[in-house]
Amino acid sequence: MSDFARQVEVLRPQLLRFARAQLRNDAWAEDAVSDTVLAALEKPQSFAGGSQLKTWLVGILKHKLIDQLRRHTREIASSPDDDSELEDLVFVPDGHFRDRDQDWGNPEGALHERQFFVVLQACVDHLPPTQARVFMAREWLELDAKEICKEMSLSSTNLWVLLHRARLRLRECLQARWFAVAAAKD
Amino acid sequence: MSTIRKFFKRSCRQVSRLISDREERPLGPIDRVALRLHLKVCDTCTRYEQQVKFMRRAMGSWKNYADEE
Repeated sequence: MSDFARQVEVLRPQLLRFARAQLRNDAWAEDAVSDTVLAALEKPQSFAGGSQLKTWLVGILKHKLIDQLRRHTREIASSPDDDSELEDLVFVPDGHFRDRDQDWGNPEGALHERQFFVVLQACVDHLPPTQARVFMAREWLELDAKEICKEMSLSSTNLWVLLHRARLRLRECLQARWFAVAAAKD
Repeated sequence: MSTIRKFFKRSCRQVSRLISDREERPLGPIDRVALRLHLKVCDTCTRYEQQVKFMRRAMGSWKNYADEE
Protein backbone atom coordinates (compact mmCIF):
# COMPACT_ATOMS: atom_id res chain seq x y z
CA MET A 1 0.00 0.00 0.00
CA SER A 2 1.34 3.41 -0.90
CA ASP A 3 1.95 5.99 1.74
CA PHE A 4 -0.90 8.04 0.36
CA ALA A 5 -3.31 5.10 0.49
CA ARG A 6 -2.31 4.44 4.08
CA GLN A 7 -2.98 8.02 5.09
CA VAL A 8 -6.40 7.87 3.45
CA GLU A 9 -7.20 4.58 5.23
CA VAL A 10 -6.36 6.10 8.59
CA LEU A 11 -9.08 8.70 8.05
CA ARG A 12 -11.75 6.20 7.01
CA PRO A 13 -13.33 5.81 10.49
CA GLN A 14 -13.78 9.57 10.80
CA LEU A 15 -15.36 9.78 7.36
CA LEU A 16 -17.65 6.93 8.31
CA ARG A 17 -18.79 8.76 11.44
CA PHE A 18 -19.85 11.75 9.39
CA ALA A 19 -21.46 9.56 6.72
CA ARG A 20 -23.48 7.66 9.31
CA ALA A 21 -24.63 10.86 10.98
CA GLN A 22 -25.75 12.23 7.61
CA LEU A 23 -27.36 9.14 6.09
CA ARG A 24 -28.52 7.18 9.14
CA ASN A 25 -27.99 3.94 7.28
CA ASP A 26 -24.82 1.88 7.70
CA ALA A 27 -24.82 0.33 4.22
CA TRP A 28 -25.30 3.69 2.46
CA ALA A 29 -22.62 5.22 4.67
CA GLU A 30 -20.17 2.44 3.78
CA ASP A 31 -20.91 3.01 0.08
CA ALA A 32 -20.40 6.77 0.34
CA VAL A 33 -17.08 6.33 2.16
CA SER A 34 -15.85 3.61 -0.23
CA ASP A 35 -16.71 5.85 -3.20
CA THR A 36 -14.81 8.66 -1.51
CA VAL A 37 -11.73 6.56 -0.83
CA LEU A 38 -11.76 5.19 -4.40
CA ALA A 39 -12.08 8.64 -5.90
CA ALA A 40 -9.20 9.82 -3.72
CA LEU A 41 -6.94 6.91 -4.64
CA GLU A 42 -7.70 7.29 -8.33
CA LYS A 43 -6.73 10.94 -8.34
CA PRO A 44 -4.05 11.49 -5.71
CA GLN A 45 -2.58 14.18 -7.94
CA SER A 46 -5.69 16.34 -7.44
CA PHE A 47 -4.84 16.55 -3.72
CA ALA A 48 -2.86 19.75 -3.80
CA GLY A 49 -1.28 19.01 -0.46
CA GLY A 50 -1.81 22.59 0.59
CA SER A 51 -5.03 21.85 2.42
CA GLN A 52 -5.18 19.06 4.94
CA LEU A 53 -5.86 15.61 3.59
CA LYS A 54 -8.95 15.28 5.73
CA THR A 55 -10.43 18.57 4.56
CA TRP A 56 -9.93 17.40 0.99
CA LEU A 57 -11.53 14.02 1.68
CA VAL A 58 -14.47 15.61 3.47
CA GLY A 59 -14.97 17.75 0.36
CA ILE A 60 -15.24 14.59 -1.77
CA LEU A 61 -17.38 12.86 0.83
CA LYS A 62 -19.95 15.66 0.69
CA HIS A 63 -20.61 14.94 -2.98
CA LYS A 64 -20.86 11.21 -2.33
CA LEU A 65 -23.31 11.80 0.51
CA ILE A 66 -25.52 13.89 -1.76
CA ASP A 67 -25.34 11.07 -4.33
CA GLN A 68 -26.55 8.63 -1.70
CA LEU A 69 -29.40 10.88 -0.58
CA ARG A 70 -30.44 11.20 -4.21
CA ARG A 71 -30.23 7.47 -4.82
CA HIS A 72 -32.37 6.65 -1.80
CA THR A 73 -34.89 9.46 -1.98
CA ARG A 74 -37.82 7.11 -2.21
CA GLU A 75 -36.79 4.98 0.77
CA ILE A 76 -36.16 8.07 2.83
CA ALA A 77 -39.52 9.59 1.91
CA SER A 78 -41.37 6.34 2.62
CA SER A 79 -40.47 6.30 6.32
CA PRO A 80 -41.13 9.77 7.72
CA ASP A 81 -40.44 10.42 11.42
CA ASP A 82 -43.36 10.07 13.74
CA ASP A 83 -42.58 13.01 15.96
CA SER A 84 -45.91 14.82 16.19
CA GLU A 85 -45.90 14.69 19.98
CA LEU A 86 -42.58 16.44 20.44
CA GLU A 87 -44.09 19.89 20.79
CA ASP A 88 -46.53 18.66 23.43
CA LEU A 89 -43.52 17.50 25.41
CA VAL A 90 -41.46 20.68 25.01
CA PHE A 91 -44.37 23.07 25.60
CA VAL A 92 -47.11 23.16 28.22
CA PRO A 93 -50.71 23.51 27.00
CA ASP A 94 -50.74 27.32 27.31
CA GLY A 95 -47.82 27.48 24.84
CA HIS A 96 -44.95 28.26 27.23
CA PHE A 97 -41.74 26.26 27.24
CA ARG A 98 -42.05 23.56 29.89
CA ASP A 99 -38.50 24.16 30.99
CA ARG A 100 -38.04 27.93 31.11
CA ASP A 101 -34.68 28.01 32.83
CA GLN A 102 -32.28 26.62 30.28
CA ASP A 103 -29.68 29.32 30.63
CA TRP A 104 -26.55 28.38 28.69
CA GLY A 105 -24.78 31.52 29.84
CA ASN A 106 -21.91 32.14 27.48
CA PRO A 107 -21.74 28.80 25.64
CA GLU A 108 -18.80 29.64 23.35
CA GLY A 109 -16.31 27.97 25.70
CA ALA A 110 -17.87 24.61 24.86
CA LEU A 111 -16.59 24.97 21.30
CA HIS A 112 -13.03 24.54 22.59
CA GLU A 113 -13.77 21.30 24.39
CA ARG A 114 -13.33 18.05 22.56
CA GLN A 115 -15.87 16.33 24.78
CA PHE A 116 -18.55 18.82 23.74
CA PHE A 117 -18.36 17.58 20.15
CA VAL A 118 -18.74 13.99 21.32
CA VAL A 119 -21.95 15.06 23.06
CA LEU A 120 -23.08 17.09 20.04
CA GLN A 121 -22.63 14.08 17.78
CA ALA A 122 -24.47 11.84 20.23
CA CYS A 123 -27.35 14.33 20.26
CA VAL A 124 -27.48 14.48 16.44
CA ASP A 125 -27.37 10.67 16.29
CA HIS A 126 -30.27 10.67 18.71
CA LEU A 127 -32.57 12.67 16.42
CA PRO A 128 -35.25 10.79 14.48
CA PRO A 129 -33.71 9.78 11.10
CA THR A 130 -35.38 12.28 8.77
CA GLN A 131 -34.76 15.18 11.13
CA ALA A 132 -31.13 14.14 11.41
CA ARG A 133 -30.68 13.92 7.63
CA VAL A 134 -32.28 17.28 7.05
CA PHE A 135 -30.43 18.96 9.89
CA MET A 136 -27.07 17.52 8.80
CA ALA A 137 -27.76 18.48 5.18
CA ARG A 138 -28.49 22.02 6.30
CA GLU A 139 -25.77 22.55 8.90
CA TRP A 140 -23.05 20.09 7.93
CA LEU A 141 -23.33 19.74 4.16
CA GLU A 142 -24.37 23.40 4.19
CA LEU A 143 -26.95 22.95 1.46
CA ASP A 144 -29.57 25.66 1.21
CA ALA A 145 -33.24 24.95 1.74
CA LYS A 146 -34.00 24.75 -1.96
CA GLU A 147 -31.31 22.12 -2.60
CA ILE A 148 -32.42 20.00 0.36
CA CYS A 149 -36.05 20.07 -0.81
CA LYS A 150 -34.95 18.98 -4.26
CA GLU A 151 -32.56 16.22 -3.17
CA MET A 152 -34.92 14.81 -0.56
CA SER A 153 -38.24 15.48 -2.30
CA LEU A 154 -39.61 17.60 0.52
CA SER A 155 -41.91 20.61 0.44
CA SER A 156 -40.54 23.80 1.99
CA THR A 157 -43.07 23.66 4.81
CA ASN A 158 -42.11 20.09 5.51
CA LEU A 159 -38.45 21.06 5.66
CA TRP A 160 -39.10 23.97 8.03
CA VAL A 161 -41.06 21.73 10.41
CA LEU A 162 -38.26 19.14 10.40
CA LEU A 163 -35.56 21.73 11.10
CA HIS A 164 -37.69 23.30 13.82
CA ARG A 165 -38.18 19.94 15.54
CA ALA A 166 -34.51 19.03 15.18
CA ARG A 167 -33.55 22.31 16.87
CA LEU A 168 -36.02 21.82 19.71
CA ARG A 169 -34.69 18.31 20.26
CA LEU A 170 -31.05 19.34 20.11
CA ARG A 171 -31.68 22.07 22.64
CA GLU A 172 -33.22 19.55 25.03
CA CYS A 173 -30.40 17.08 24.49
CA LEU A 174 -27.55 19.59 24.83
CA GLN A 175 -29.19 20.97 27.94
CA ALA A 176 -29.50 17.53 29.54
CA ARG A 177 -26.13 16.15 28.48
CA TRP A 178 -23.89 19.17 28.55
CA PHE A 179 -25.12 22.44 29.98
CA ALA A 180 -26.99 21.01 33.00
CA VAL A 181 -23.95 18.81 33.73
CA ALA A 182 -21.57 21.77 33.45
CA ALA A 183 -23.81 23.87 35.71
CA ALA A 184 -23.85 21.10 38.32
CA LYS A 185 -20.03 21.04 38.31
CA ASP A 186 -19.70 24.78 38.96
CA MET B 1 -55.20 44.15 26.26
CA SER B 2 -55.56 46.33 23.22
CA THR B 3 -56.85 44.83 20.01
CA ILE B 4 -53.53 45.55 18.34
CA ARG B 5 -51.61 43.75 21.10
CA LYS B 6 -53.94 40.80 20.80
CA PHE B 7 -53.47 40.72 17.05
CA PHE B 8 -49.70 40.41 17.43
CA LYS B 9 -49.69 38.11 20.46
CA ARG B 10 -47.93 34.78 19.96
CA SER B 11 -47.15 31.90 22.32
CA CYS B 12 -43.61 30.63 22.90
CA ARG B 13 -44.60 27.57 20.95
CA GLN B 14 -45.42 29.72 17.92
CA VAL B 15 -42.44 31.99 18.40
CA SER B 16 -39.97 29.10 18.59
CA ARG B 17 -41.11 28.10 15.11
CA LEU B 18 -40.60 31.67 13.85
CA ILE B 19 -37.10 31.73 15.36
CA SER B 20 -36.20 28.57 13.46
CA ASP B 21 -37.94 29.63 10.24
CA ARG B 22 -36.13 32.95 10.23
CA GLU B 23 -32.90 31.03 9.59
CA GLU B 24 -34.52 29.54 6.45
CA ARG B 25 -36.77 32.18 4.92
CA PRO B 26 -37.61 35.87 5.24
CA LEU B 27 -40.51 36.28 7.66
CA GLY B 28 -43.59 38.23 6.61
CA PRO B 29 -44.13 41.72 8.06
CA ILE B 30 -46.75 40.62 10.61
CA ASP B 31 -44.60 37.74 11.86
CA ARG B 32 -41.62 40.07 12.17
CA VAL B 33 -43.51 42.49 14.41
CA ALA B 34 -45.05 39.65 16.43
CA LEU B 35 -41.63 38.09 16.96
CA ARG B 36 -40.06 41.36 18.04
CA LEU B 37 -42.84 42.18 20.49
CA HIS B 38 -42.63 38.71 22.01
CA LEU B 39 -38.84 38.73 22.39
CA LYS B 40 -39.03 42.07 24.20
CA VAL B 41 -40.90 40.48 27.07
CA CYS B 42 -39.84 36.82 26.99
CA ASP B 43 -36.47 35.74 28.40
CA THR B 44 -36.95 32.07 27.52
CA CYS B 45 -37.51 32.78 23.83
CA THR B 46 -34.66 35.31 23.80
CA ARG B 47 -32.44 32.55 25.14
CA TYR B 48 -33.86 30.11 22.60
CA GLU B 49 -33.01 32.54 19.83
CA GLN B 50 -29.39 32.55 21.05
CA GLN B 51 -29.40 28.78 21.49
CA VAL B 52 -30.49 28.26 17.87
CA LYS B 53 -27.67 30.49 16.65
CA PHE B 54 -25.20 28.77 18.94
CA MET B 55 -26.22 25.33 17.66
CA ARG B 56 -25.60 26.51 14.11
CA ARG B 57 -22.12 27.73 15.04
CA ALA B 58 -21.45 24.51 16.93
CA MET B 59 -22.27 22.41 13.86
CA GLY B 60 -19.85 24.51 11.82
CA SER B 61 -17.13 24.15 14.47
CA TRP B 62 -17.70 20.41 14.75
CA LYS B 63 -16.56 20.00 11.18
CA ASN B 64 -13.57 22.32 11.56
CA TYR B 65 -12.65 20.89 14.91
CA ALA B 66 -12.70 17.36 13.57
CA ASP B 67 -10.59 18.60 10.66
CA GLU B 68 -7.85 19.49 13.09
CA GLU B 69 -7.64 16.18 14.91
